[in-house]
This record gives sequence, structure tokens and C-alpha cells, in this order.
Amino acid sequence: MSTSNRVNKIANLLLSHSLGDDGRVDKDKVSNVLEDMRKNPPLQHIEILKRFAFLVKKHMSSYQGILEYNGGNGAEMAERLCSKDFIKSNNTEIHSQESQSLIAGIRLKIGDDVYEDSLANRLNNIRKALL
Amino acid sequence: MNSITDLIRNEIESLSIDASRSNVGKVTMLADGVARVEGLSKVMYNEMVEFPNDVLGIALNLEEDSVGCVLLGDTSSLKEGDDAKTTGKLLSVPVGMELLGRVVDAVGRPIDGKGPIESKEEYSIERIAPGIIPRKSVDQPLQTGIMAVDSMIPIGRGQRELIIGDRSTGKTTIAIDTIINQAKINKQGEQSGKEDFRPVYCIYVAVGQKNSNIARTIKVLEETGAMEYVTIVSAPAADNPANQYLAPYGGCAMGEWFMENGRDALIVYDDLSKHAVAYRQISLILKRPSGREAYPGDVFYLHSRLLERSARLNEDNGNGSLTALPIIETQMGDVSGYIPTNVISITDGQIFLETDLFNKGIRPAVSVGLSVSRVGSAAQIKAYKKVAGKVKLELAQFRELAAFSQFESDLDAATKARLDRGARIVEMFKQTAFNPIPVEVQTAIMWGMQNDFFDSIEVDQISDAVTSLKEYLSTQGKEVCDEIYQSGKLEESTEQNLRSALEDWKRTFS
Repeated sequence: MSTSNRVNKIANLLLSHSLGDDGRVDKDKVSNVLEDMRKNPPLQHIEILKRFAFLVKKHMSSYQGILEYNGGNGAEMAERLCSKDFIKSNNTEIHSQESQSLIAGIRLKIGDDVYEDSLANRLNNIRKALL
Repeated sequence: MNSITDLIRNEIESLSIDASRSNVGKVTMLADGVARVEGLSKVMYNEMVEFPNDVLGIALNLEEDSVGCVLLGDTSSLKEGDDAKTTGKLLSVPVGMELLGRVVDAVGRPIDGKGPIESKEEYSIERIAPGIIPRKSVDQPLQTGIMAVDSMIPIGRGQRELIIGDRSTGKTTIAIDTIINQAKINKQGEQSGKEDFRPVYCIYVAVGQKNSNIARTIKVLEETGAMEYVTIVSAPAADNPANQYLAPYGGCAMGEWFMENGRDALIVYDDLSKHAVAYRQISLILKRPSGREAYPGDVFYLHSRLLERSARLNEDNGNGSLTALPIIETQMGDVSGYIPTNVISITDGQIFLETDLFNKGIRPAVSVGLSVSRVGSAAQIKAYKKVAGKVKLELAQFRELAAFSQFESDLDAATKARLDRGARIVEMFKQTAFNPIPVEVQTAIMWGMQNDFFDSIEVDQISDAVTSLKEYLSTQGKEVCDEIYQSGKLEESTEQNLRSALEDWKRTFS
């Protein structure tokens, strides 16, 4: 098995041990995993930890959404979005923040998916069409 | 008042949100026209990816956590940490008649300063080649206007004929001559008003060439009046390797439009050696495993999937065709290199050009022994087939005997006759660049050779004689040439007219 494959395999295993019953990363379980690793450090300890951190971050971003908005009430928008089926089914947490760069409208980012309806985006589309 | 504003607010809220969805990632590495992007988990293979400042890329390497994208255009404004966004579109190029007479870059953007291209359609640059059912065998000739090629290595519409040879042996000249000849035939055909006449449109793809060479080619095509039937796809050496890699596929998509719309097209890839080098460069930067000569494992597929898109379609599928003339540059005449053998095995024959012949003044420097057309005489008009049937054998025998005759002082009469005939055929095939000869004139000259009209002329006078005969056939002998052009056959009456015309010419030439 190549080095990178081995690191990948162990990091994936650590991630599976870090998940709670709801499929989310559990802080206590992550602490336990790290504690165990500290006691019995594997070969390429740092590489495995880096890979583990990357996988945890990636997994967490799949159920944590960032809602950027400008104009209107962000909290209200977040609440309305949470009632949508695709958010509910994934049990996604929405964190909202105001963003002036949108000019007006919203941008929701979950994992690497972006849903956007903003004036900035529309202006950009017009600019591209005119070029 | 409040109730009214609430009413409007409710109305606004009930409207559906017109949100766009995209998949994004972050640039983690940038080098030599390639970006590695983290994220983009839903990107498709070959999908266009949008970077800041309107820079586009193509997703070529889909890995577990990252995506390798080749970048098109100016990448100097990009930096690590920039966002990359999927577009949901595969890379496409404009296609259609509007592209004729234009010079475009690898993705079909005009670079000739003649304004935008008002094309109505776009084709994806990567398309699946036609299968077995819509194809038919190649049986219609595509005249190159080069006697040595049309007589011994005939090319048919829908064929893939490789032009291979060392640097400066006249590979591009053969391709350009062919394009010029198509334009001449197109103009002649359009004037004749023949109902079944099918013009051949041409696409010239320049990969990794010097800008000065491309400019010279454009100038030649404009001066000869061929440009109105030609589209030039330019990815010069100064362009990034991604554009050089994409240009042949873009050009092929433009050619496919003609084929799929029941028209005939010719595409020249000049050249695929440089295309393979550009692909090797991209593959190495993308960290793909390398094989022989550091080329990636799929370098055969790189060219096979491109050349398989050239085909002759049957009547049920519009009867169109796309003929390909790929060019390969060899090193020191070595045809056993990796890329030359690959392309030789994919194509339906090759025109091999020899440096020695070129240096001896035999131009085009076609090597008879190594050149072949697997379509053969099926792609020749009947009249030409009749006169050119034996010429390849005669020339091959001449080369063999010429090698032996160096050691022999006394030669028998038959051998001497063969040597004389061979030497005259070699002289007859000499042709200047960008000066294609119409097929009916070629037929008449070949007929003259086969019927001993050149036997009394000294070998060093043959070129002059051929030039003189060409002039005669375009003036006094035009009628007999028109007869051959119209019927495509050499009937007894035509042969009689041809004999009397050549006797008349012989008197004037003597």
C-alpha cells in the first residue's frame, strides 16, 4: 500500500470513529480519538492528523450552511430556509451573516454547493452576456 | 397603509426565488497553466470551470479531494485561494458556414479582427465518433492536385491520410496545396452548375507553430483565393499548452458540422507531434503517471478518438464526409517513434516525405516505397485509374533497378527502358509549391507518359515539357480536358482526341 493510501485509509477510519449516532462529528469522540493517538502514535502521525482534520472539516461543511444576506432580516430568512425540504432532510444548521458584497439578496453555501439570488450575481451575469 | 404594504410584501414573498445553483471550490495550487482546486465535488469531466476575471478552465483530473483544471487564456491574474465555479457546460465551439474565411483560436473566438462570428450553433469539442451503422466505405476522390499523390496514393473523402516526414520536407505544402486545389475545384464546380457537385470546405488547425508560419499560410490562402472556403484554427507555440491540446478537437467539431449537414469537409492537423507534446506537458503537470518517452498512457487514445471522428456517412445520414490529413514530424526519418507509429496505425495510409529526395530536388519528396493509401483506386475517377494504374509499380521497379544499375555497366534493353521510363516519371512528378494541377490535366499528362509521348524528350527537359503541355491543355487542348472532366472516363473517342491534341502539342514543343 502506498504511503498516501495508508494515510488516507487511517484518516477515514478515524473519521468514522468520530461520528455520533446522528452522523455528525461528535466533539467528545474526536477528543477520544486524539487521546488514543497521543498514547499510541502511529507512523506518519502528523500527515494522518492533517488528513483527519481535512476530512472532519469537509464532513462538517456538508451539514453546516452559511447564509449571507444583504437587505431584509437575515434571521428570518434563515428560519424560512430551514423550513425547506432539502435543508430539513439533511438536518443542516444555518448560520447567517450580513454581506455588503451581495448588494441585495442572499447566498447560501452548504459544503461546496452555492445557491445564490443576489443583485451582484445578476449584474455579473449581465456583464458576461455583454462582453 | 400598513395593510397595503403587507399585501405587497406577501405578494413579493410568494414569488419563487430565481436562485442559481453552482458548485464551488478553492484554488490550492497554480502552475504552468494548470490549477488544482479543492471542492468542486459535483464537477463533470471536461466541464468548463469559471475562475475570477473571466478566466476559464477545463476539469481534466477528477480526484478524491481535488480537481485538476487546465486554464485557458491569461492566468496571470489568478492566485491561490481564488474561487472556482462550475458552469454546467462542456467546452463548445461555434460551428457553421459563418466560420468560413475566418481565423479563430482554439475555442472558436475570432482572432482576425473581422468582428464577431454570428454563428447560430455550437458543438461540444469532445464528441463521440460515428459508429459502424452510419458509415459507408470511401469511394469518392478528394483531389490534392499533386500528381505524385493523386496517381499513386489516392485519397478519398472520409479517409484519414497521414503526412509524415522530417522537418522542412514539404509536409505543410502538401496540405496547403490540397486546400488550394479544393478551392479551385469548388469554384469550377459552382460555375459548371452541376447538380450533384459537392464542394469541399477546409479547416486548417495549426498546433504549436510559429506565428510567422501561420501568417504566411493565411497569406498564401488569401492570395490564391482559397480563404473563402477555409477556417483556420490557430494555437501557436506562444499559446498555452491547454489551447494547443484543445485546438484539434475544436477544429474537428467545426468539420463535423459540415459532415453531419450532408456536406464534405477536409481537416488538416498541423501537426499532431506538437499536439502530443502539449498533452504530455499538461499530463505531467497534472501528475498523471507517465510511460514511454514520458507520454501519458492514454496518448494513443488522444489521437485515435480525434481521428475516428473523420468518416464518410451513408445516404441515410446525409452522405457527408470529413477527411483528415494529420501531419507528423519525424526525427532523422525515424518512423518507428512512439507518436509516428501510433498515428500510422490509426490512419488509412501515409504519405512519407524523404529528406534525401527533397535535397535532390525531387519535390514533392514522396517516398514511393513507404507511402500507401489503404483506400486505393476506389478513390480515383475512372479516367485517372486507367492511366495511373501501373505508375506506382513502374516507379518502385525504377528505384530498385536504379540501385542495382550503379554496379552494372551493361544493361539489357528492357532494364534500360524501365530506367528511362522511371527517370521520366520522376521528372514528371516534380511540381512547384502551391500550384495544384486539375485532375483532367493530370490524366492527360499521365496518358501522354503511358503512350510514349515523352520518350523522345531528354530527361532534363521533361519538367519543361510538362509545363508546356499544361499550358497547351489549358488553351488549345481545353476541349479534351473538359471532355475528361465532364465524363470522368477515358472512352475511345476521348483517347483519339487526346492523341491528336498531344501530337499537336509535341510539334509545337519540338
